Amino acid sequence: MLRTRIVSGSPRAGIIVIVAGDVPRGALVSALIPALALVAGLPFVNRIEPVVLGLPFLLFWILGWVLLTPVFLAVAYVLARAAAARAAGGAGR
Amino acid sequence: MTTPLLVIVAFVLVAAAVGVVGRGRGEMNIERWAVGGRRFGVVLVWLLTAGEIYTTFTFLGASGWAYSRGAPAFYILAYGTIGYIISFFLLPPVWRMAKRLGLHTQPDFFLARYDSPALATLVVVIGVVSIVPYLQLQLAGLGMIVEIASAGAVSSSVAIVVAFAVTCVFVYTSGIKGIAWVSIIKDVAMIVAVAVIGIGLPAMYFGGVGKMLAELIRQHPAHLTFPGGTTTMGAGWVVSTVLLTGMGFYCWPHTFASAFSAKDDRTLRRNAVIMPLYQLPVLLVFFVGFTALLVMPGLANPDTALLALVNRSYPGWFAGFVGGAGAVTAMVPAAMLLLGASTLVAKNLYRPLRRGAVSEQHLMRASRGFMLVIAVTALALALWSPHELVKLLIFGYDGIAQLFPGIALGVFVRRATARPVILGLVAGFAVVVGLIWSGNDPFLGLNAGFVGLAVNAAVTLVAMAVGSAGEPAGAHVPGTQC
Repeated sequence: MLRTRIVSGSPRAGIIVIVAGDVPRGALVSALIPALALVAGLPFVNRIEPVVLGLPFLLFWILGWVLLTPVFLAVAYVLARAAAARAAGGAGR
Repeated sequence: MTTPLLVIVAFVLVAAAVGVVGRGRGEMNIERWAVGGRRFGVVLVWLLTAGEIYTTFTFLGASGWAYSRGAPAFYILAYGTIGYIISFFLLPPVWRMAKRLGLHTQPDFFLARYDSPALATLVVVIGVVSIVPYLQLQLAGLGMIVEIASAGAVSSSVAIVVAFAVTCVFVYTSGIKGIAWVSIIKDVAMIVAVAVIGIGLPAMYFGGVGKMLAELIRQHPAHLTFPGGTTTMGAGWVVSTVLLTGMGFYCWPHTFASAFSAKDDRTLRRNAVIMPLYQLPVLLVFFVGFTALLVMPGLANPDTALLALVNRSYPGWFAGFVGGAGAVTAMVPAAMLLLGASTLVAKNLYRPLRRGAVSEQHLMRASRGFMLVIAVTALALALWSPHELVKLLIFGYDGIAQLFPGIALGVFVRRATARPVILGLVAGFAVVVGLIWSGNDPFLGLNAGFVGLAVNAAVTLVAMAVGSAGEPAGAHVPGTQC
């Protein structure tokens, strides 16, 4: 019996298709903003001036976006929860 | 015994004791050992995730990079954040699938999603090949910490053997939950140590972080923008490296599998929201590296910058505290890596070879056995092949990130099948090996691993397009093995 439980994760389960259908577009956009700033933005902020809060601009930019990321992800979280609740409510009725 | 050494030894022993006690009551089985019975809430998942990101490389490597390379080190702040953003979308569906099918490891995921034992085996091989050098790096860092803190009284080999044996004991007895508990000690000690030295050292020598940075801008202005103290790590390298390592972040088998320990998928998402803040100590580590550059330039090994400056600036007991924090910072990731690699080998190589005739107790015993085998292998490498570590680590990250297309397509694209993923994986891996061996990293200003990942993704997508043209739409190939 124990063995059967473990084996349930093996190929006999067949190809399982999972779709991340619980993430609305707004959540994607919100999460994409800090990602773009921390990747695509870097070549454009590769300088020391202006020094902000004592930090050279490049470091200030990276640090600032690291600190802002939780805010953008929190927005995405709330949007995803709301969408999931709507979907569940719709299916329930 | 000197004061710093006593403090370090006390640290290591307390950590191990917490790890052994942390197993809790009841009989150990593979589900508890590998994924904590899937009952971890935000706090334990956070501790585990943090346990993985703060490694010896962060402690010694980030300060060493800030010291010798300057601005390119900033990628360390950015890539974790990218990794968390990706995990926000990627991990919850992975978790749901793992929960439904009782998956324990990353190859389990590939097997269940793609129904291809060949792909799963390839994933095991890439996982273990990438993990061993990473483990080796933790051990080497640990040896360096103890050797410096004891002023050479304890050789790095002795330190490595003792601390690693202690680590093996708590992984062996307690599995993942023991590691999560040790993470608490590690994180508290690490944050205290980094906060004190990150703010204290600039204040001690320059009267504050701002004044230290102003002095650095005056003396070494080029150090604070890309390519910093290097000639090859320009903006292109940083961008490609952030992308590569951000995508590779959750591709490590132990990191990927640690997501399975969460009690629900929301826990993972909340974790992703708060984790970027946990990067902040890295900033303080940079400050230590910068201060060291101004105060004691010209160190032969930049990785020793943090320890050397701490030894020079603080009384023995505090240097011991920093060393102890550093030692535990090596032990926890080493424990995670060991657990991850051994579960992988036992479940996804050993059991298929035995053709399924393996009970749960047998699998548990096999996991522990392989843990010891992998531990001894990494130990031998750390003791007798101590060079080229950084090269091996880079190679490890470049290699492991090649799993990303297979994971992301597996989660988000219904049509993805095994063959395109295998072709892409092999092509990407070959490109990485070729570029690194031929001395072409960076290649055209880009991280070689990123070039490999781009080739990997392109091959996978082309193979998908070609393959699906020849197949009836929606047809799946069931398992072909007997």
